[in-house]
Order: sequence, then structure tokens, then C-alpha cells
Amino acid sequence: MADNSELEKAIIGDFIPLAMIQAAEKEYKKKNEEGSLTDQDRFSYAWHLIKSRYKDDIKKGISIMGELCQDGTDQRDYLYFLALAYYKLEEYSEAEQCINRVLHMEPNNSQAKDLKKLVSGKIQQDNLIAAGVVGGAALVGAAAVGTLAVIGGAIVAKLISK
Amino acid sequence: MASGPYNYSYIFKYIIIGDMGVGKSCLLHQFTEKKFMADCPHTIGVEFGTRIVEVSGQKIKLQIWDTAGQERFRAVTRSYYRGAAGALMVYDITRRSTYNHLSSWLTDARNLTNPNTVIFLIGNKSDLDGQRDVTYEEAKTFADENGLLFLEASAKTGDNVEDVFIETAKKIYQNIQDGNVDLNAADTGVQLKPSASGGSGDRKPTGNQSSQQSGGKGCC
Ligand SMILES: Nc1nc2c(ncn2[C@@H]2O[C@H](COP(=O)(O)OP(=O)(O)OP(=O)(O)O)[C@@H](O)[C@H]2O)c(=O)[nH]1
Ligand SMILES: [Mg+2]
Repeated sequence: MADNSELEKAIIGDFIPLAMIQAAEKEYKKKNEEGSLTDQDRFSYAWHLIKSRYKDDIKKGISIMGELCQDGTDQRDYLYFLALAYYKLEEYSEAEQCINRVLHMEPNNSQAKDLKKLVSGKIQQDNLIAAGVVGGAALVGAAAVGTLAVIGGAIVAKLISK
Repeated sequence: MASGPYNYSYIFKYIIIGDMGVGKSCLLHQFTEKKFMADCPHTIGVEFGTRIVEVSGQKIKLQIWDTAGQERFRAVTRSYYRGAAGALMVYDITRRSTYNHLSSWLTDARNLTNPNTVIFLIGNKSDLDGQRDVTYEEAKTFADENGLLFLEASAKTGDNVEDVFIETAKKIYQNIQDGNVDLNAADTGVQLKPSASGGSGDRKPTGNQSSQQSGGKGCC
């Protein structure tokens, strides 16, 4: 099975080209002006935005996906992509809340479990950093082996981990 | 991550496509984990899985994108076709409608992948022979007419599941050996393994064949 770094590359680092996002935006605006915008159109546009590499796009995607999510249907899908979006913004506790709600609905959902694994890894890493403890560049691996070296200061640790 | 040399020579990218509920995710999990998931939820967008296989003495890593069949994901999943070396196109032998939709899936596959992409047609749920709605002969004829590889399989029993993934890899590998795949071109869905020199995780194939020789400078 895929390890965390490979999963992250596949699930999180899977950016779509700018041209595709622009095309989706054009379509969205056109439908909006015609007054024929459906939830499907909103979802598709929000998905494109969330798959962007740019934070402003991702934030816009969250706001559209978030509105859809309140409407009640297809919650699972919206929550999954919201979790993904928050992860990309490094807002891991929001990501965790969303992915937990998906897992609450479908405890055996393997996609949700994969994403949860990534989110938990980041939260654990942040906790270690907050404690001012960091071991080398491969933080998680090092933590597992138990060869933790204490390097002072959260700022230094943050720099290393990014 | 950078621990030890890579133990494979190539990466092949696959996609799995077809109507919702035909068993795409079950095929993936049967292949990667040798488990049947009886209550598999509908896929959200795409799911990712990997496994290393051996073809002609070469270790090959398969990176598999299992797409959602639900109609509303169709626009979303189309973006995953580009750069697939193999496409597994699945229908359910007990549901005729899933077979009837194959021409539309095939059109997408042909339009959105490259000419060398190997397309394998899979009639899934072969364990449910009593409820069969599509004959083997009929599907075989369709496959032959369209130049597709074809097998019936069961994600439940595991029957033929290995074969469809590995036969596809064999065919891709053969295309490489025949010189039909330019390893430096983008979007072929085939990559040489990342050079085993350790260091950064940059996986751009730098072009020459020598980078695939094993037993080079050992890291660690
Ligand atoms: N009897 C039998 N049932 C199967 C087989 N493969 C899948 N199923 C069942 O078919 C249902 C759908 O399987 P999935 O793998 O989720 O289908 P899918 O094609 O991934 O569906 P989407 O993700 O919605 O596109 C599940 O309830 C499985 O248990 C099989 O080979 N035999
Ligand atoms: Mg599925």
C-alpha cells in the first residue's frame, strides 16, 4: 500500500492546470448570468478551485462547497473535499472535523481513512513542533524510531519541517 | 521516502472507468490488498492505490486511479484520463445497462488518453453467473471489434483479477520494448524509476536508459 508521502503526493499534490480552472470559472459565470446555475455546476466549479495550487482559489472553493454542504444532500462528498481543502491551507483541525464527519457516516470508507491518516500525521507533527521537539528532517520517521533530538525553539522546528 | 534504493524500474499509471456499482473499487482493493469489500461506498471523485508487479523480470509500480462512476463526477474524473498508460474499462455482467454504456466510456477513453494507452475490458461479477445479463461471446466480439483486451473477472472471488492488471502491464511493457512509447514524452503514463542516487525526491526521468540500471551508487 501507498505510504504517507506517496498518498500525500497523489491526494493533496494533485493540482489541476490553471487553464482548466479558468474554463470552469467561465462556465460558472455564464450559467450564473443566465440564472441557470445548478448545484452540480457549483460543485464542479468548487472542485476545480479546491484542486488548484493557489490558496485564494482554494478559499473560494471552500466558500462555495461550504454553502452546498449546508443544503443537506450529498454531504459526504462536500465534506470530503472541504477536508481536502483545509488540509491544503494547513488548517488541520478544520480538516479533521470534516473528515471525522465523513467517517461518522461511513466508518469503512477507505478514501476517508487515507485522508484521515494524512491529517492525523500533520496534527501529530504540529504538536511535536509546538512542544519544541523535532528530530531531523524526516520528523515522523524519526519519531517512530524514537531518535528524537531536541532543537530549541518552535520557529527553527517550523522552518525545518516546511 | 528516501530510505534505500527504489525497488522498481518503471511506474505505470492506470485508470479504472465504468458505470457506478460495477465493482471498480472492489477490483482495486482485491488487487492491492487481496480483500473483498462487500459494502464498498461509492467512490468520491477518485481513489488512489498502488502495487508493485513483476513483468519479464522487471519490477513495475502500478499507480492506479479508481474513478467514481456516479454521473455528477464525470466532469471531475475526466481530468484523470490524461497520461494513463492503461485503462481498465469495467461493466457488470448482471446489468445490461452498464454494458450498453461502454461505447460512451470508450469514446472518453479514446479521446482523452493517448493512442498507445492499453484498454482492457473487464466483465466483472463473473461469480454471479446465474444472474448473467451479458454473454461472454457478445462482449468478446465487442472487444475484438474495438481492439480491446478482454476478460471476465470477479472482485469477490478474485478470479482473473491479477490477470487483468498484469496483462495490461505486459502489453504496456511490450509497447515500450517495441519502441512505441517515448519515455521522455509527457502524458504516456510511463516513467522510468526515479534515479536511485538518493538526495532530493525529484522524479523527472533525465532521459538516458542508464539511470535504470540497478546496483548503481548505493545510498545508505
Ligand atoms: N457478487 C459480486 N459483487 C461484487 C463484485 N464486485 C463488486 N461487487 C459489489 O458491487 C457493489 C459495488 O461495488 P464498487 O466496487 O463499490 O463499485 P464501483 O464501480 O466502484 O462504484 P462507484 O464508486 O460508485 O463508481 C458492492 O456492493 C460490491 O460488494 C463481484 O465481483 N461479485
Ligand atoms: Mg468506486
